[in-house]
Amino acid sequence: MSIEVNAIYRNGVLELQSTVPLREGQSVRVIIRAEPDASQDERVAVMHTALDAWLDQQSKAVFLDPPDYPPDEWARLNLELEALIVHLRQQSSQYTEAEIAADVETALGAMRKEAR
Amino acid sequence: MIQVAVDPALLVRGLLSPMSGNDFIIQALRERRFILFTSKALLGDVARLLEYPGLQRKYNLTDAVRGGLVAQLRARASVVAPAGKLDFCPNPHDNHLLEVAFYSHAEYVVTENDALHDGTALAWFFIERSTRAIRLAEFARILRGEP
Repeated sequence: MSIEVNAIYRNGVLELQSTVPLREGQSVRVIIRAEPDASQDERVAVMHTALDAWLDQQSKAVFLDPPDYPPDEWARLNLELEALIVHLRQQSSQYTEAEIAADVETALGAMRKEAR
Repeated sequence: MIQVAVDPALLVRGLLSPMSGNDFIIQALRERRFILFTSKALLGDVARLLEYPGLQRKYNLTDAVRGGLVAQLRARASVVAPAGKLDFCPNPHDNHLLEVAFYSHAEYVVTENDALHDGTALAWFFIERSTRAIRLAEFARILRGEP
């Protein structure tokens, strides 16, 4: 059984524009089809063309496997990471997540400004 | 294993965060619960963020610590080398992330950059290319195996 209804997306919630014959708590699958937007569709089409051309120039012999080390090498890496994290937490544990996120955003803003 | 490209800013947040928070990315990487795709350019962005004087001072990011963090990411990631540049975002740093994502056909791009979310042309483009741009909270849910 399926039904098609219009909805408006507001604050992370899809608000249905009409009632639907569902019982309380019933699970449904939602397929989202945006209203046509000519300018946006055109931009997406341009991106597809640009990406396809870009992918065509990439090497075909690409190896995407993750690193695979012997167990003692993983253990060494893990010890090094733990030591770094212990060092970082001596400073960062006094700050909240929000403060740290704001600090990184400031650094990101500066980096972006430099790139312009 | 899921294949992911992560915004350098979120990797830095993860590295700097106390145990309970955003460092789940680093812990999941340590436990090899996802494949991180990155590139020389993206690792360079991580290094540049860590070099920012305000972060260096506040978090005591010495040369050795910064070098060690970038080396850890490089050692644990699949480092790809895309040829040429994409020009989808106004800022080249944002394009570095897209280059890695599309080159490696990553399932997810984890970013809080609004340009890749919120109904933008780029957000729809991602969906059509079978790569999903997700925010940090959604990535956490995926790693926990939640729907």
